[in-house]
Amino acid sequence: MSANSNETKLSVEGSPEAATEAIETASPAAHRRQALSLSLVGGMAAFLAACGKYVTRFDDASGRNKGLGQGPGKIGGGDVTGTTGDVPGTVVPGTVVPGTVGGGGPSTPGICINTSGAVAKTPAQILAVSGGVPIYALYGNNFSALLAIKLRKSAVGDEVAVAEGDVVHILAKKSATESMLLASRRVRPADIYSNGVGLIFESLSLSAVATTAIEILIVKGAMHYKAELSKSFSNSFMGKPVYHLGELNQDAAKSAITFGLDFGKENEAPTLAGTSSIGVPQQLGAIFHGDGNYLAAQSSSTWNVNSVVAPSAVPEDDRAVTNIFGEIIVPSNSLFREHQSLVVYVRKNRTVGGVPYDAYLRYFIYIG
Amino acid sequence: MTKVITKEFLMERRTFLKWSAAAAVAGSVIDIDAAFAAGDCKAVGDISSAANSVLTKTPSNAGKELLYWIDGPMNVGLPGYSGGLQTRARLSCTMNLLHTAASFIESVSLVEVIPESKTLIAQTFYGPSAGTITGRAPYTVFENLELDYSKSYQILYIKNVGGMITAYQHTIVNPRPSRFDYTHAPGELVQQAESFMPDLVGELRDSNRYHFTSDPTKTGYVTTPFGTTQAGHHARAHIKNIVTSGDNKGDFEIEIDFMHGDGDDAHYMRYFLVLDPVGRVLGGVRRIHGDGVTGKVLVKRGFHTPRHGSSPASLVEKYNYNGKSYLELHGKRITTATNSPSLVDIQLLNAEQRVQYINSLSILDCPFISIYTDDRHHAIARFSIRLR
Repeated sequence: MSANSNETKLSVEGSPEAATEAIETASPAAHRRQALSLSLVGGMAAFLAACGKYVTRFDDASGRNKGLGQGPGKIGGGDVTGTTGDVPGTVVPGTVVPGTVGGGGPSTPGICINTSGAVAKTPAQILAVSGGVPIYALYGNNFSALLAIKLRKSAVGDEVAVAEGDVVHILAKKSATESMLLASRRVRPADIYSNGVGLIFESLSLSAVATTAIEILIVKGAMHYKAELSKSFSNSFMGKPVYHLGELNQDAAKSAITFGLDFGKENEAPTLAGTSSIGVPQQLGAIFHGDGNYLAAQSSSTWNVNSVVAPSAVPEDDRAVTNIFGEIIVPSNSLFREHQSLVVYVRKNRTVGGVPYDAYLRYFIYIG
Repeated sequence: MTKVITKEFLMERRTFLKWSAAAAVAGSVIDIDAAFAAGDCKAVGDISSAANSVLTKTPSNAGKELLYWIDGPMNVGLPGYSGGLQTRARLSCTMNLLHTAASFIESVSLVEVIPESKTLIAQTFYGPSAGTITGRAPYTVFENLELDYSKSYQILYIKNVGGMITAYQHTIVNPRPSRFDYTHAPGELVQQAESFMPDLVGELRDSNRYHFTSDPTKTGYVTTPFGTTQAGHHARAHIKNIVTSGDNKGDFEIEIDFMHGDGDDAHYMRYFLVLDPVGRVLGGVRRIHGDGVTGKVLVKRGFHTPRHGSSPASLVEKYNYNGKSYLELHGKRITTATNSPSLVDIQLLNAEQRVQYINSLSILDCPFISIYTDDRHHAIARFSIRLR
C-alpha cells in the first residue's frame, strides 16, 4: 500500500507500509478469520481494512491511550488473548499499548481519530459565513450545545466546496494527533442553501469536553479537509452581551426579564399559504416581556419584522433577525422555505437595581 | 402506519471501536447487522422482527424502548403533498436508560435504510458527564432532516458498559409527524397520555375532531404558528421563570395564552401542556369549563387541574393563579361524557409515584420544549421554544 498523492493521509501512527507488514506477518489463524470475515461481510471488511490506517486510539478510564489497532507485526489481540481482540480485516497500524482493553472497567469516552494528515484549511477557506460559528448554550445546564455551521458550496482557489453526500465531523481537538468525535452529519439536499451548506448540530455534548478548540473535518470521498475553530459560545451580538435562554450573563438583570413569544393578535400569525407565499408575513415577530411590560422596540405591541429588518436598514443596531447560522436576514417569501429557525434580537437599555446595562435579548423562533 | 422495531446486541467495546472509528473516518457508521453477520457481536434474545415488535411494548423492557418525537415541516416529504417546500423535520429521541460513569450512552446514530445499504445521516457522541440532571440518557435531537414516509430509518444507540457495549438498533418504519394517537408511541408515552389526558386521547380517536385523519399526507389536528389547518388557532406562551439551582431546581412557570375565549363546554380552552422533546408531560393544566379563568393559564411543573367545591379534602392545593386554586393531580380524571366538573372519579397516583415522576424529568435537560393547547373542538395548537 502506498500513499497516493491525491489521497488524504489522516494517520501518522503507523505508515501504510506498516499495515502491509502487519498483514503479512499475521498468523494463519488470523488469515482464516480474515477470509471468513470477507466472505461474510464482503465489502465491509475490505472497507475496514482500507480505513484502518486512519484509526488511532481511544482513552481508557485512567486516560491511557489505547491503540485501536496493533503495531506492526500483530493482528488483533494486543492485550487480550484469544479472539476477543481479533477482528478479521481490521489490521490497523497504531500504537500498541498493553492494558485492559476489552476487559476491565468503564472504558471511556471517546472515539478518537487522528486528523493530522488531513488537508489543513483556515476557517475562512471552509466557512461560507464570516464572523464565526454560532454556538448556543442550554439554559441552566449547558452540557448540550447547539452549533450551526455554514460551509462553502462553491470554492475559489484553496477554498473547499462541500456538496451533497459529503460528511462533516465535529471533533474536540485534544492534541496534535488526537481528536474526539462529537457529532457527524451527511450533507443532504435540505442542508444546501442559496449561499452555502448549512448544518445544524443540536444537543451537542460540547461543554463537557475539556478543549478550547473544535475541529471541523470534512470527508469528501478519500479526501479529508480540516479546520480549527475556537470553542466559544455566542454570548454577544453587535458587540453587546446577550441575554438568552442559555447562559444568562448579567445576573443583576436576569430577574427583570421574562422571555416570551407572541405572534400578535389572534388570527394574525403568519401562515404558509401553500407553497409560494407567506399569508401574513408582516406579523412574524417576537415580543419580550420585562417587568410585566413589553420590551419590543416598537410602540406597537406587535413587532413587525418587515420594519425591523427592512432592506434599507440592515443591520439596525437595536433589533435584528438572523437565521440560526448567524446571518442577518431580510423577510421574504422564501424565509420559511430556507429556514427552520429564526433568531430575534432586541437591544435594550435599562437599569435594574441601580445597575445600568445595555444588552440584547435573544429568542429563537422555530418554524414547524 | 409507523412502526418501531428494536433489536439488542452485545459487542466488545474494542471491537466496536475498530468498526466505528474506521467507519467515521470514511464518513459512515458501524453497521451492526454486518458486525453480527461477521460474528463480531451477538444478539440478545430473538432478533426476528415479530419478536422485537413485541419486545418494545413489554413493560419489563421499558428502558429499551425508543422514545421519540417527530415534528417540523416534514409534510412535503409525504406522498401526495404538492409544493416546493423543503422538508425540514426534527427528530428528537432518548431512551429511559441510566447514564452514569459506569454505564452511559456513547453514541446515537441516525441511519437511512434502503434495500442493500445504510447511509449515515447524523450522529452524536457522548461521554459519561453528558447525562441529564436526573441521571438519564440525554435527549438527542437531529434537525433539518428530510424524512420520507415511504422509507425506514434506524436509530442506533450505543451504550458503554465498561469493556462491552450494548447496541440498541431501533428501526422506524414509515415515519410521520408524531401525534398523541398511539400509532407510534411506545408504552411509556401511551401510559402517560392515558393517565394525564384520557379525554383528549379519546377524542383524538374520533376522526371528526381536530381534522384528524389517518391519511399520512395530511397535517392532522396539530396547528402551528406557520402552517395551520384552522385559522387563528395558534399557541403562544411566555417563559416567566425557570429555577436553575436549589431545592426547586427544574421548577418552571410558563404562561400559555388562550387561543380564544371559551364557548360552551364542548368548545373551550381546555389543555395547556408543556412537553419535553419526546412528548412527555413536564407540566400541564387541564381546565374545567366554567372555572372562571380567562385569557391565559400558568403552567408549572407537574400536572394540575382547577380546584372545585367538591374536591376531596385529601387533595393538596398547589398554587393559586388568577384567583383560582389549582390542585396537583397526577392521575386520571374524567370518565363522564358530559365533562362534568365533578372530581369524584379522579384517581390520584400516590405520593411516591408523583415524586418519581417529577424527579424523572426536568426542563433543564431539554434543548427545547413544546407547547400544546387545545380547545376541545377545532384544534390542538403547538409551537416550540428553544431553551437557548
